[in-house]
Amino acid sequence: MRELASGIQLENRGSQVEFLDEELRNYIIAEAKTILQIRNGKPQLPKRLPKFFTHVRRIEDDDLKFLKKEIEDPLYLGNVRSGSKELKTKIHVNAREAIPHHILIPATTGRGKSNLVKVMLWELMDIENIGMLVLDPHDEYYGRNEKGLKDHPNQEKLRYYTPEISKVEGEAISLNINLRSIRPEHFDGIVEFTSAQKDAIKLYHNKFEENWIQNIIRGEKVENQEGTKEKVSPSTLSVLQRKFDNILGIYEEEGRLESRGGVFTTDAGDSTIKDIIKSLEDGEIVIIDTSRLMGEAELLVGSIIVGALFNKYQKYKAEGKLEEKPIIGIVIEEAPRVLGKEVIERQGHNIYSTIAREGRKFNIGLVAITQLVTLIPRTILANMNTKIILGNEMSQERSEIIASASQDLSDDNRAIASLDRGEAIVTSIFTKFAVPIKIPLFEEHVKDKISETKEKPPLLSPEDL
Amino acid sequence: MYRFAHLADCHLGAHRYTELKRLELESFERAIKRSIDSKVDFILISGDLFHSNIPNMEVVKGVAKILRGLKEAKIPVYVCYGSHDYSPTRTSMIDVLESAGLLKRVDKIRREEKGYTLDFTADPVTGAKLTGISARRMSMEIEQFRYLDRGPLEAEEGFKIFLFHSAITEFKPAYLSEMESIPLNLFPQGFDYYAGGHLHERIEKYEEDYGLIVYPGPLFGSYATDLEANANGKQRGFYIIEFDDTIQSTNFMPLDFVKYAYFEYDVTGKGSQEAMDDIISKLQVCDVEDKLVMVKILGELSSGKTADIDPLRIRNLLMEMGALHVNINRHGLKRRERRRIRVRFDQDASKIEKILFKENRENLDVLRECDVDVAKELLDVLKRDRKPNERRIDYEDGMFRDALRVLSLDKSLGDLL
Repeated sequence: MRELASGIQLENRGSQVEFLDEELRNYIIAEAKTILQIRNGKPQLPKRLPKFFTHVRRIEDDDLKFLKKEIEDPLYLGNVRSGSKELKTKIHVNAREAIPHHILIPATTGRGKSNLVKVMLWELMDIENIGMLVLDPHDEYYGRNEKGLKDHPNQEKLRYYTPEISKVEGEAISLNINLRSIRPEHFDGIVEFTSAQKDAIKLYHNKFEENWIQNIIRGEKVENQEGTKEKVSPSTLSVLQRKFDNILGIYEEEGRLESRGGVFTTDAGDSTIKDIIKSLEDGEIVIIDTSRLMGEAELLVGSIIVGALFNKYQKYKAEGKLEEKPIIGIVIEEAPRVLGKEVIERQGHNIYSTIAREGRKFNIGLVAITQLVTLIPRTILANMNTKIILGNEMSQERSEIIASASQDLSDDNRAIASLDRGEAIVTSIFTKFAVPIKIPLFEEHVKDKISETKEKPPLLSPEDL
Repeated sequence: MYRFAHLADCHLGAHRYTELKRLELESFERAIKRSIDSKVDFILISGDLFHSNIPNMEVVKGVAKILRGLKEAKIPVYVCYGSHDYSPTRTSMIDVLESAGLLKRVDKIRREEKGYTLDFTADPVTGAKLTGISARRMSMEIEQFRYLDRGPLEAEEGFKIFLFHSAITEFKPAYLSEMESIPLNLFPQGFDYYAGGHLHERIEKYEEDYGLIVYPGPLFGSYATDLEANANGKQRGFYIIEFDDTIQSTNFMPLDFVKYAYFEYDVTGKGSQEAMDDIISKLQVCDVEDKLVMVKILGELSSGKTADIDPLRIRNLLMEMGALHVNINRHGLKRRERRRIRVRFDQDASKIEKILFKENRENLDVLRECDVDVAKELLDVLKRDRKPNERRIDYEDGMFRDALRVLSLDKSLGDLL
């Protein structure tokens, strides 16, 4: 019948074809793929086909009872979707397992990446012992002017750093990073320096230690041992000054160091990095609003924090204390800026690519968000063990995602292309099959859970007042 | 043009030693005298006037006398509680002095529908409006900041001063990162002057939308770390601020009447006796006369005990050389660390012993030269129990000979024994 119907279509008659007995002769043909076999309520990978003439129907919640078993530290991602129909069954992954194994969220713009991350972070606010560092280039997670993580009932778990504190209601901390916190390796893989500039940086760092940037900006001379000839040529020094001015917004005026963006300073923010790391080690969610920073400065802020964190966790592992520490996840938007093939080839590995490769050993994982998976090396993609695939129209991108998926998605090319906003396919080494999900709209998801406590000041004794 | 003085963290009564007690009170006395000489209209003390809420009465007597002098000179003193002054029952010495009319608390907080509200205290001469939030133990004042109704405070007209005794998160020095703190955005905006205390660091910063935020730091220093910083060149003092409708000038007034000497010695790689001799010989040629001497001894001894570095001997020597007071910091002094070794419990005792020997090779000098198998074999010999009916002398003799055999000394020494 199928061949016959195709034949008719080939004759270009399409829907003009008339059937004598339409109701009886017309069929809807569906192609099915076995993805799972349930035996005694337990899912198994299928080894054989369903029996001939088995009854076929749409999936129902009752069929997915096996998904309802208790997961430790469950991170909710969305509800199971069958086509465009949303079921009641919720999909969770074990956050403690999934985060250190890295999560990739690929999608073209407007498909609901930020909404998904918002929902995930909201859920993580309730999970103990998982710290999340969110580098937020669009300032969309805290919810400064709309609903966001600030409205979570468990808001004491949230730390929000922003350069514009006076415009924020609630408890925000000014994003000040003291220049003394910056070390030369923080620029690795983020800012390109020539070998002469690298040598100069090394010299200044050796001589002035934590005040190296200040002295470069001030144009302090580094001399040879004989104290005569300058070791760093004036042109190299002036290029470095210009670069630091561009990236950090620090320049000298009338003998004083001035900060243009207000983020990198010389007179505040001494404890910022330590405070952030302490919060993460306490299992808190730290959002860094980098929306006012240029791309390199944003990555640099991340690099300073993540670098310090990585070193600390390496130390914990060496001391055998790693198991007592919380898992840390790092949310990085536009991941190819630091994980891209070209960036790594040109500038070498940076702290993010290091974490992508070996972070798992130290309980640190990335939640990498990207529009262009093709820019990321396959070795790194293969390390991303959970992928939440949202809609993507670009066929090349889809091929790359499919090639690196944890399950066989070779027949799902069209399905990925036709994913609507908020629809996704979760493929993970922690799920037995690739699960289609519908991610709830953040505002709808949190509607009934928004905190009201903020309005009520705590009761203090008369003496306290 | 008006003037006010801003002091904080006086911590009077912090020190036990006579000389330090004298210097801490003298610092306060000098600060007040210089303020009077500078013709200030009022004085702000933003917390921790005393080191405890009920201090030693001798200290209180000295302070009361100074405050009475200010009252007679018609210079009001405005204060808020510091974390050390705080008393949940309002029976702090600050409250006693307030009842006596010697100073005035400006941290008047009320609870209303919208949150906490602060009242202003107006200085009668200058018209400056003062308010603030006191510190409580463990930075619990953060709740008051969190639920503060900032609107009326920000809307108030005139020259406004906000007193507080809390660390502002953004201004914490790195070494105080563990300290509880309050983010700047919980403070009301638009004050002319934020008189801070609590951070024992001098900070002077103008913040957009806020105003001038000043921490004067301690007058003298209540902890050994403060004094160590003083000895390393950190200036201590207070501020005198000139203002009319706005701040006109800020002047830090250093109190540098105390002379310090700082001596740091790293023992790393040295035996305890050698280090001690070295310290003594180096100190003998230092000029410590009439100085507060801070001695810091740090590093890892290659041998000997940390107790061999005798603080009493060092102190006596320096006092004999004319030092005012000697403080010895040995917190960074360590013996050679024994590395922790982890073994799995599912292994038999013999294997565990072998692992311990292997891993301990670095910790024990005797094992450096010796093979782990030899050590293990020796242990087996030494732990052999006496057999039933075996004579004690035979048991000991046998063990001795076996030990010599294991150590390959039986041939060379055996005949001699």
